[in-house]
Amino acid sequence: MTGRRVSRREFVKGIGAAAAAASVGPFVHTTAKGASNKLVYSGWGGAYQDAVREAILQPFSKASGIDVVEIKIGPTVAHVKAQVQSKNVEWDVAELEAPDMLRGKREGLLEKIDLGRVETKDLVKEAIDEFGIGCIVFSTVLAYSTIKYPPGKPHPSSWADFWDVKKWPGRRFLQDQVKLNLEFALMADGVPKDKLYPLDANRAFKSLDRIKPHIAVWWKKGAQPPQLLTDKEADLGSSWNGRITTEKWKGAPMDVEWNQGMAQYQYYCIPKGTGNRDAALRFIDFAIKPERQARSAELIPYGPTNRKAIAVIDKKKAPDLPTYPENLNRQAPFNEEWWLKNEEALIKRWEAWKLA
Amino acid sequence: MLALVGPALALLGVFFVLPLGNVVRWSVLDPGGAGLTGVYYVRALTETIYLRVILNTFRISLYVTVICLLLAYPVAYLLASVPRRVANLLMILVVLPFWISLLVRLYAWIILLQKAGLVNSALLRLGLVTEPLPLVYNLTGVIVGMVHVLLPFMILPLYSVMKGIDPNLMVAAQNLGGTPAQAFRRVFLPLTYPGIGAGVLMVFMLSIGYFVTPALLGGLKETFIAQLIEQQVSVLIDWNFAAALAALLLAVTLIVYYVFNRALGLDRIWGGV
Repeated sequence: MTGRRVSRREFVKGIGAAAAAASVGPFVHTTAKGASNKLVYSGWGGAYQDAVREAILQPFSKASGIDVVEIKIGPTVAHVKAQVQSKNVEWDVAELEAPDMLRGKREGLLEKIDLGRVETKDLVKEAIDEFGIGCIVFSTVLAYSTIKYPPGKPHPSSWADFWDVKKWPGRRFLQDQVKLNLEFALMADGVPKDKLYPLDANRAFKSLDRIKPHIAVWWKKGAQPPQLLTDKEADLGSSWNGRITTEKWKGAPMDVEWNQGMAQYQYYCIPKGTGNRDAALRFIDFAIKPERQARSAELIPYGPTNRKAIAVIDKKKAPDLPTYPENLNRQAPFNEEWWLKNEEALIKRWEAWKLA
Repeated sequence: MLALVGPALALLGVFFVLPLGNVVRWSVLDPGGAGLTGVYYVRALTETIYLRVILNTFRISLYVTVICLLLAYPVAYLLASVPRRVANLLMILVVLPFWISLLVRLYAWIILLQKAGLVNSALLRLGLVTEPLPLVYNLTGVIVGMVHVLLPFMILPLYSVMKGIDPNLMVAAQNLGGTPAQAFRRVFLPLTYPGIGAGVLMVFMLSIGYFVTPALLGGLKETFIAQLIEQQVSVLIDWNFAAALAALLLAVTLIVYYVFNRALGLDRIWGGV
C-alpha cells in the first residue's frame, strides 16, 4: 500500500537479510511467543499507522487490556516467510496487501482465520478470506493538477484521455510496474472495464508503446506523484488515491478522477506459528467494527471494508474514499487471482519492454 | 594474534560467510525435495532479460567508475600536496555525503535536477538554455546520484597512494630534463596505479549492487540487476531463483576482481607481497 514501494526498495539487504534471518534466527530474541497479554501488530508506519493507532490500536488496548507492540515496516509476505521459515514468528497480526496475502496462503505461511470468531456479515465480499480479513481499500487512480485543469472546467477523466496527448497536453507519469499499467492501457484502447480479464497482454503492450514516449516520470515510490504535482514537474498520472487526497485535504492543488480507477485490498493476516492466535483474532474482530474503520478513514483516506462504516463517516470526507458507493461504481474491478498466476511472466516481459 | 582477530572472524563467519553460503545453497536446492538442481541457473542464463540487465548494470557502473576516476584524481592530488591540516579539513568535505541519509540525498537531487528545479531555473534565468534540460529520471540523474555517493571511495585510495610518493621523484625527473607533463606521465602516474586499481575496483563493485539510486533517479532504461533480484525476493518470493541471480552476480563480481588483481597488482595496496 502507501509505503509498499518504500519498504521494498529499502529491502536492499534483500536476500542477504533473509538469509541472515534464516541462519541466525534461533539467536534472535523472541518477542511474541507465549505472551498472552501482548499483541505484536506490524503495519505501514507513517501517517497511516498514526491513524491506525488512534482509531484502532489504542482503543483495542483499552477495551481488552492487551498491550499492542507496534512494528512499522510495511510488512510483506517475504518478511512473513523469513519468520516462518526460521521458526521465529514475531508478528501476531500483519497488514498484508492482497497479492502478499494470496502468496502467503499459497505457500502455507498464514494461520487460517476462524471466521466464527470474526464478525464478517457487514464486510464487502472481497474483504473476507479464510487467510485474511480486509482492513482497508486503496485505489490507483488518475490524479491531476487542479492548476493545469482548474475545477469547473473539464479535466482528463479516463485512461483514453490520458493516452490522448493531443487533446490533453501535459506532462505525464505512470508507476514503474506491469500490474495496473496493462489494465490502464487496455481501457485506453477501448476495452470495457468489466471485460478486462483475462488481460490481452499483446494488445496492452501495443497500447503502452503509444504512450511510452510521453511519460516524463515512471515513479517508484508513492510519495512521488504528489511531489511531482506540487513541484509542477508533471500534470497528470496514476497515483495511489490516499497520497493525493491527503494533500488535497491540506489545500494542495490536486485531485483524483475515480473513473476507471482500480481498488486493491489490504488484509489483516496472522503469520503461521504465532503463539498469540487468540489475541490476534480478538484484535481483528475489534478492528473491523464500523466505528473503528470510520474513525481511521476520517484520519487517512483509505476506504473501509465494512459497509456500515461508510454511513457513519464525516459527510465531507466520505466522497473522497475509494469505497464510497459512487466511487466504487465508477472504478474497474481488479483481479488479484489472475495476477497471482501471471505476474511472474509479465514482470519479465515488462522489464524487457522497458529496455526495448 | 588469533585471539585479537577472533571476534572479527567470528562476526564475519556468522553474519557474512554463513548467510552467503546459504544463498548459494538455496540457488541449487530443489524446491520439492532435498536434492540439488540446476534449474535456477538455467533459467537465469537462458532468459535473456537477466543477462541484459546485468550488462546494463555493468555498463552504467563503468560510466560511474570512469567519471569518479576523472573527478577524484585531481582532488586526491590536491589533498596530497597541501599541508596536513588543510588536507584534514578538505577530507571532511569529501566524506560529507556519507553523513546524509540516502533518501534525503536522493530527493534533494530530484529537487535540484528536475525540470523546474534549482539547476534548470538558474540556467534558464542566465539565458544559457531556452528549454529545461532533462537532468533527472534518466542516465544523467543516475550518474550524478551515484558519483556523488561513490566519489570518496575513489579519492581515499588515490590519496593514500599519492601521500606515499616522494615529491623529490618529480623534482628529480625534471632535473633530468623531463617536462612537468613528462614527469607526471612517466613517474607520478605509474606510481599511482595501485591507487587507481583499488579505487576503480571499489567504486565498480559498489556500483553493480546499486538499487535505490537508479530506481529513483533513473528512467525506464536504467534498471539494475539488484532491482530484479529484489522483485524475486519480495514480490514473487521465489527465493531460490533470487539466490541464483545473486550468486551469478557474485560470481561475475569475483571474476572482475580476479582480472583486476592480475592486471593491476592490487595486492600491493592491501599490503600483500
